[in-house]
Amino acid sequence: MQRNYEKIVTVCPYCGSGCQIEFTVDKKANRIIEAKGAPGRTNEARLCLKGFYGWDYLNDPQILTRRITSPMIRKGGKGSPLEPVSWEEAIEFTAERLKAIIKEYGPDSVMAAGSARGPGNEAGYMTQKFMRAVIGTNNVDHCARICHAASVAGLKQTIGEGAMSLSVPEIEDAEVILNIGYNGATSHPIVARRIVKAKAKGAKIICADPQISETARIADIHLQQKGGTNLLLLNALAYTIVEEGLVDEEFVNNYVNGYEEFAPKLAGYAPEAVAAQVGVPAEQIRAAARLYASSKHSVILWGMGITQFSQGVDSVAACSNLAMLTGNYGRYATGVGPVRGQNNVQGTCDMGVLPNEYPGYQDVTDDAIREKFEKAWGVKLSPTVGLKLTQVPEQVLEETDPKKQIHAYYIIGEDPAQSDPHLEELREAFQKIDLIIVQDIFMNRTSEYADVLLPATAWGEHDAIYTCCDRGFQRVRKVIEPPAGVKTDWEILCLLATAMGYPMHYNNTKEIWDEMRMLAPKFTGATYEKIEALGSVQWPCYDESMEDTGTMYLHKDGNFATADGRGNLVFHDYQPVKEEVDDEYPLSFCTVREVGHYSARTMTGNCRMLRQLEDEPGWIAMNPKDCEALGVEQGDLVRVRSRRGSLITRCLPTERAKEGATYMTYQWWIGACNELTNGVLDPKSKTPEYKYCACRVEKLDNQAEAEEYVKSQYALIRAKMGIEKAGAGA
Amino acid sequence: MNRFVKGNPLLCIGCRTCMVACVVSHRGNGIFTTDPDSEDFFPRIHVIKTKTKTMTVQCHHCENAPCVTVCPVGALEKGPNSILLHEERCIGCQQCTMACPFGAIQMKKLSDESGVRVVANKCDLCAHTEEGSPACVSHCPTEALTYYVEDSIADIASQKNLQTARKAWAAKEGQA
Repeated sequence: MQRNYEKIVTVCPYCGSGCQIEFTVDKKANRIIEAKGAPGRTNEARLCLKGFYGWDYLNDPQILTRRITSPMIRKGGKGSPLEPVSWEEAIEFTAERLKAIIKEYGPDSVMAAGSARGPGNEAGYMTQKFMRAVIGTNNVDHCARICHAASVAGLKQTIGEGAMSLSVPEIEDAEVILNIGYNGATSHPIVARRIVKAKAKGAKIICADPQISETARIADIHLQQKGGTNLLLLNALAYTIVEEGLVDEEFVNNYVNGYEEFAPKLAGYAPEAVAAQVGVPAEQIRAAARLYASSKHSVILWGMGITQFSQGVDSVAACSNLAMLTGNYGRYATGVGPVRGQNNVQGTCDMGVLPNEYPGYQDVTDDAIREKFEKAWGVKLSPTVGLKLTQVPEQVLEETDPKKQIHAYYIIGEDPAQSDPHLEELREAFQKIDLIIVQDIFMNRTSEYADVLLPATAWGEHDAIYTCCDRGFQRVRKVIEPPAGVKTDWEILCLLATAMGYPMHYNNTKEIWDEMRMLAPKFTGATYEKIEALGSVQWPCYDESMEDTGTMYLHKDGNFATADGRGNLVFHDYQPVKEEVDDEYPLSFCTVREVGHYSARTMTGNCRMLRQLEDEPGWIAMNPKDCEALGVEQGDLVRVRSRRGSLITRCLPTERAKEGATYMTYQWWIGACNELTNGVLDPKSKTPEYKYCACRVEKLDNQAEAEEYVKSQYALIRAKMGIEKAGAGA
Repeated sequence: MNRFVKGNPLLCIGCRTCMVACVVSHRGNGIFTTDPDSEDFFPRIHVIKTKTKTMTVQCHHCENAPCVTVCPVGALEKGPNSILLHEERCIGCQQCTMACPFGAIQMKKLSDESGVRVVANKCDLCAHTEEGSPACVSHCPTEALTYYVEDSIADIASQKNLQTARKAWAAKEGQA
């Protein structure tokens, strides 16, 4: 029965792999029929389960939470119910409240979190323009802060550019892959595909990971380090490279600063000196260093296992040091890959949804740059670097001067009440913020605190451009019509800006993109037409002519993106994690990813097939010996407790976890990891130490009662999200 | 000779896309239009992880299949190039589950006009689906799964024959 079916190619909304999908759409019924892999640059027609089955939330099956289709406000103030209102009323209410707050406390009392997910680059550009030009503050940030901000900061110091230096397809032609703190199999299956292909082509793999990940399992050398020892290990690798004469002297002399000062500082990091602390034999560390240094096609891949530590920035710099010492930058199939997690987290950084940079990585503190933006936007702009996302709780709870507190928080497409560390503290802060505006597609944990809810279009319902993890701009197309009552994120921002006295109007995303391109030289050449014609354009792309097809890999011929064009070796001493295990909390706790779910799971949790694989209350993976000592078995409900809170989840014994270490995925509501995590931040990037805190696991004697508790909690939270029938699940 | 699907543990990343593809392939795209709580989820392929191995387990369509031997009602039968399961004949006695050396047959709940029954569940190579060939193979993101048909197995054997001969010759000539 062939009906009015149409094929539409777009980009997947999950993870940074940037896979292209071809949808078959029943236009008449306004429904997706099926998804197939399209021959994109990064995915070569392959998709993972999220790409194939992750569009189901567009059907609003009301499994986890309900789609918002009308603006809502709390007319009676905090504590009163959210009531549906017209767009006019919602915009007027929001604009008036914002104006009043700015009048009383100044523009820096307003904070915004942009979205690295569905909305796309044009909405990202508009978010920061709204905050900077309309509100008058640089208080704008996004979830890169809690994931790869350390990569951006660490790489900026050393090579000047905080992005993957190589592209995804190059990974399979690497000769050596040093995979550290990165589990591609769960975070980016389509990047993991390149790792297993590289192995099949003969590449050697070094995997540094406390657990036996899929990459560790096929590695030639698995450095099964103790959690929280990255910098010890990385410095020991650098030490070995220097001591054993494996440095590429020509590369270092020609293209790198600081070797003379750097090398002697490694003195305390001989593998033999640190082996016990790292938990890996010295000879294995040396063998890894030799292997990494043995090729000019060595690639380092890292993820949250490097960045989500209080020493994330320093560890990123240490990764970059290894690549510089061995001349592994600036050619095909070499370099570093901080593999960005979300579909558009690279793009949201590109668009300047950051407190210190305008679009295109241009500093807000640079007078000439600021004047350029002032001229384009027709307003005076703040020269002061804004607040970082993770500083919000402190700025609300600890700041005593009301003028310096945060009084309004505009949250677009994020769920901090699920994704941020130390949730109890965050909830306390949220209760004290005068105005919380949540702009989203679904009810989520954060919407419980919203004073205003603004319903936006979802991925699949609007056009945009995303930037995938390897700097690739790709066109995202509307697949189906949005439900009545919602607006695109950029249209909502225009309405608010106009209501606040700064008229903004665009006819489509291309007009926004063109305005942005003219202000950001690195992206000027990436026109809609060029991206359409080539399928993907990797920045930098300076020139609009078709001759400039973008940049596959950065730092060609050792030309780094720093001020003097040279790389900088930067040394940092190791510091231990901020909360060690002890008698009271004897196990280490680390947050990880579930392959079938994404971020705070409002999207994937509303997809029938994905929730069938995994559902509440999640699992705590721990070594069978630790399970045995506690007398708990697979599937038993257990209570996990840290100094900050507790949760209930199921026990999963696995030999892939070291004794004393535990792992949980972070998207569950009942098994909400972030009740436990430590809010301590990397002082440089303000990224939380999600990857290490101390916990204990408690056996629950009355399993029947615990099962009942989980079921009732799930029903309760779903009811809060607007789901009336609290049926299956749990 | 029978056809079968086999996974390569070196390429498998344990993502379980195959398991979902299996369910959707047998149920059809209609699965995305019904009440989410009304659908069962019984994949015929399973991803298994041990300390150092990750691989899929599914029916091998053995030439001398023990499940066919033990089935008391003829619900399992050797077809032209696969082991066929006739769900309508199955009495749910689970003999096949016990006989299968791979654990490739599990039970599932089957809802039809006569109510809910428990029957055997195993890979049918997606023979009766729209795609007509195993969905797990076409959906695997890392190409870890291969659909082996008679020709491809014969090719493997002849290539290995050739390699064996080449190695033997090289040794005699003193070549590495």
